[in-house]
Amino acid sequence: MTTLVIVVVMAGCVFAVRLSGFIAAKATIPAAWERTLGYVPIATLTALVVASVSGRSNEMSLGIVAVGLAAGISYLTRKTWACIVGGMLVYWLLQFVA
Amino acid sequence: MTQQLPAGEQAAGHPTRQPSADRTLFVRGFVAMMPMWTGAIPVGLAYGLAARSAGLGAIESQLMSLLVFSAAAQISAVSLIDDGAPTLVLLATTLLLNVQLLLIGLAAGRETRPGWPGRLSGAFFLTEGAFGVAAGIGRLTLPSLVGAGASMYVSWNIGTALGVTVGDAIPDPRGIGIDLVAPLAFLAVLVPLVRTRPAVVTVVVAAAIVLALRQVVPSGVAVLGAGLGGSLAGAWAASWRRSDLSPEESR
Repeated sequence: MTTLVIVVVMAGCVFAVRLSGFIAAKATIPAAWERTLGYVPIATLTALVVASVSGRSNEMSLGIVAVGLAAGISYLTRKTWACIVGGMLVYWLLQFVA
Repeated sequence: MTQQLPAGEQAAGHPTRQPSADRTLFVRGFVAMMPMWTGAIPVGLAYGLAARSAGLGAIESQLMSLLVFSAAAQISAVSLIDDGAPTLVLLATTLLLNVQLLLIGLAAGRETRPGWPGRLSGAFFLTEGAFGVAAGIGRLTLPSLVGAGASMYVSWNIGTALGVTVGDAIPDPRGIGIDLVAPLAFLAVLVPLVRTRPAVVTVVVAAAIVLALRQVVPSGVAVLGAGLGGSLAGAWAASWRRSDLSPEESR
């Protein structure tokens, strides 16, 4: 499947999820389901972060340190740009020192 | 602060608004979202960089932002494309990452009860941030929701264009560690969501599952398994601590 087709199918999937909420506005979702759905993005994002930085080359051990410190920066500042810029600066500093 | 609306009834049973009132609400939502551009543009830039680093073309990268309009889904997609994950895994991850929009769409739909044109425009521009901002500036209306979403859409695409442009100017993105931008962007979205103990449980369990599953299955499948396992663990932890609200409930 070409990347262009993937993009279009992805757009359809995301739009369908968004639209289904509006369509099913009168539906009742069991509380347990609603609670579980609320944690899905947190779990999936965590898995993506861990999968991205684990099990790679030695270079990525620097990446793990940088991501760990970036998590601290993000927690303290609550700024998205600070997390990304801070993490990259830490990574480049570690690369320079190592 | 709410807008004084002219009397009148729509098929859906809700008051109609004059176009000028709708425009005012749209602009109010659009402007209220603008301070959030400082968060959206850097993540958009990070996505653009990650997309180019993963080998996506400039047009494909920008088109994804124009059509998909979901930071987490787009960054995960380029990361999974880069890892060579199967398309089905990529699409399943996209759905998982956006499942919360189903709940937000339900809340927005119940509050605004739009007709089909409103449902389509509201759905396209629906994001967590847009919902929060539109609800925060007065009674939630469809124009204010669409205005806030459109504002985010503009900033997201500006950020993407910047990232694609910068990415094109870097001859060897991986050589300077640009592939680290994707996990950092995930992290920037994730950390503000982790506000309660059940959320912390979700993070710990999801991390443990993905590390274990990666030993036996491809990375994309491990992410899906961790997404499901972690969310079940979070819900279980929340049911033991009723005083802690889920991310959705605390909004």
